[in-house]
Amino acid sequence: MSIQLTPRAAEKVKEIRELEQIPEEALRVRVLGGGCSGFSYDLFFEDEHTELDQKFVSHGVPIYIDMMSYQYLEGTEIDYVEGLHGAGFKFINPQAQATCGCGSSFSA
Amino acid sequence: MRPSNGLSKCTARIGGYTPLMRAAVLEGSIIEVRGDDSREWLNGQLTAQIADAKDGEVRRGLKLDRTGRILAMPWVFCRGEEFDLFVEREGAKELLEDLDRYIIMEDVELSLREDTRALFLEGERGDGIFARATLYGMEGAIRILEEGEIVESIVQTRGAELLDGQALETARIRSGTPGRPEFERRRLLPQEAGLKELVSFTKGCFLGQEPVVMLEHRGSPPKRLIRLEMEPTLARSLKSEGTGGIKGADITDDTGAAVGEITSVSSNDERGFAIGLLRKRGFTLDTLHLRASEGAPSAAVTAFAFIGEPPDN
Repeated sequence: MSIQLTPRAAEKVKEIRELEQIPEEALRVRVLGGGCSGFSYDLFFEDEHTELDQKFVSHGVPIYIDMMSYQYLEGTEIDYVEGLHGAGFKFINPQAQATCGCGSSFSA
Repeated sequence: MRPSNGLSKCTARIGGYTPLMRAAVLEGSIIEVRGDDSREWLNGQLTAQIADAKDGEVRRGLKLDRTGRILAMPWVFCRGEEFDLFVEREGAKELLEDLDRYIIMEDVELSLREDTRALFLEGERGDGIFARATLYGMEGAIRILEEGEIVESIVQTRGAELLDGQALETARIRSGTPGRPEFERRRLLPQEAGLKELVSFTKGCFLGQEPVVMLEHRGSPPKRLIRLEMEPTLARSLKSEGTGGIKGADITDDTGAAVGEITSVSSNDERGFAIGLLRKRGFTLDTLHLRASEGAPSAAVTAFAFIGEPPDN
């Protein structure tokens, strides 16, 4: 299984990359220990990876995930949502046992 | 401040004068938190504000599970960018394993130093060696003891009275400070345990935050800890002589229905003290009674008090 972006999320990633003038950098996705449910998601751009990273490409966006984070993210789909309560990337993670109200933290 | 008469059989009269200060040795284990990400990571694991803790300070916080229930109440000693969590020995390994689950790629390492002790001195000021702290209603300071340090000489130098285990437990219960008997199996939220002051509601995310904040906005905790004061004979009858555990004793309402249980009890020569858990909301203190087991002396509970803020109901 891999990590996927929805078409909407991929377009948003590309848009942000263009704005920041880093069109060639990959999206690093990782899990941090913390957040109200125990673990939280983290996203940032990066152009370096190691042999221990899992590498994917989704809708033309390269994605890097470290080995430890991948245990918690395998099978995740990342979407981008906009609404009255704000806009942001949303993680649909089959391994999450519970997710906090804002969606940024999960338990596993 | 003079200690009460029944505090300790170990009272040491120094030069013919009754000691004015009390001292206590806490036995526990230390979970050492090391690594460049220690401060930020630990701030997300405990309820207290750790981010601005200074070298030499000690903070008290709560370790919650993800449903907001209290697992432990560690002393957090700040050593620059390293932290020592002083916790009760029982359950320390399990607590370390639980904390370790939440280290992913952070530069954080945990290790356990078992069989350690901390010394609390009432009236002591924080001086870089001791850190200002409050223990069971006593204002003073605390520090971790080095291996082999002789406590009695430190205590005698300051003219303090060293509390023995019984006296310390009595002080804990008398002050209404929850401990392991309250946390174990009771699954209490901080507001239910009267420990809201150990929670920072402004520092950002920490493990177990969401249920705690939801309860804070909603009010009316479903359970509450209360403190009871009674005749010492009644308090002694509530403890099992063999195990030291609590004999069957219910907290009841005016109809005689059981609405709670006793979780801790102790006494000195003059008074008995207990902590109890109310399992339902909506009671005023004047409607509560204690129903002790058969054979218990007929003695009154003279006072009930909520631990922490009184409820809104």
